[in-house]
Amino acid sequence: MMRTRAAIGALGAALIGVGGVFLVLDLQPVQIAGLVLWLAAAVVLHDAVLVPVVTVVDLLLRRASRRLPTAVVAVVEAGFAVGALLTAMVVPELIAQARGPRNATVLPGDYDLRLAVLWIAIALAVAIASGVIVWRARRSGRRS
Amino acid sequence: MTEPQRVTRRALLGTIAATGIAAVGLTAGQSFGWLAPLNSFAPRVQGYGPQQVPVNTTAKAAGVVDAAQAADWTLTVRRGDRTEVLDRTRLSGLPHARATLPIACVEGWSTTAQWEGVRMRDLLALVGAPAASTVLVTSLQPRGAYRMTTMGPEFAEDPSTLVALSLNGRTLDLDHGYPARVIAPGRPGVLQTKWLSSIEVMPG
Repeated sequence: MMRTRAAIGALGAALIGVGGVFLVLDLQPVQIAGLVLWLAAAVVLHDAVLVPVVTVVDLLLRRASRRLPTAVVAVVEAGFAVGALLTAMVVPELIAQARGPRNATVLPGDYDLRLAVLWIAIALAVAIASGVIVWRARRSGRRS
Repeated sequence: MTEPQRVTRRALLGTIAATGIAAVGLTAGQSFGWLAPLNSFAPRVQGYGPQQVPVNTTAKAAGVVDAAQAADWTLTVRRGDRTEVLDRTRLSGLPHARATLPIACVEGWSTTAQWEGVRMRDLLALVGAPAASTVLVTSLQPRGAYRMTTMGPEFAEDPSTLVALSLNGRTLDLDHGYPARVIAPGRPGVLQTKWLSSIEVMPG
């Protein structure tokens, strides 16, 4: 097990190394600066927006029901992570759409509507999964 | 209830897998046909555009609307002093070939289409280009980083590299490079030069 983990870790480190080498070889300094800015913005978005919201949701969840199985909390958090990531991808598209795409074949979809449907679908999936988890926990609780 | 649980490794990995699958599954359909039905959030849609192919730069944006539709448009093929000037009639009269090739944009979308036109190597033969020639392809575009493109012999000699005149069975749309454009296998979309003006054999 440890050996497998070490091998996977080494492979990952090697791939990162290859990426780093090609980054320096293929990109101009100004492009690397742009990349660093983009990555930094991702960190800011994660730490300043996503993490506070997740923390608040988490606190509310734990207050609302202290008896919830941890698996339910995990499912809610996973659902929230999926929704948040796709929202972070779609919001720039909505901004670009509002500013006017550069031709009719760019951004042709109803992305706002689809994002709303996605959140509803996530909420449903989380509700169903949580229901199943709670039901199974109660059933096994009765048995023991 | 015990102390608030830490996030377990299984939950963390499961969440990462779920976000990865959702993000790829709902966008990769702009490039991969079998995922196209799931494409909900990608900026492009396969088959969405004139002649079922998306457009990156329109003729208007490239500033070629008049030049590309001019009745006296010609394609010049040149090697040193040897020059062949082909108008649309002559170009259409040359032997045609078909190729099924994608426009694969560096922006991330990709759509495969049916192209028909004259093989690049047949055009180069008109001016007696030697084997392994590199060519310089020039567009009617007055400006832009991709106005001129060099094409190595590995592309120029390939039988599926065409100066395309039609796309998906109809005359090339103005936004797809009318009257003639390059389509070659294995090149990024920006190098598939549209609105051709000249093809020049570089001195070897």
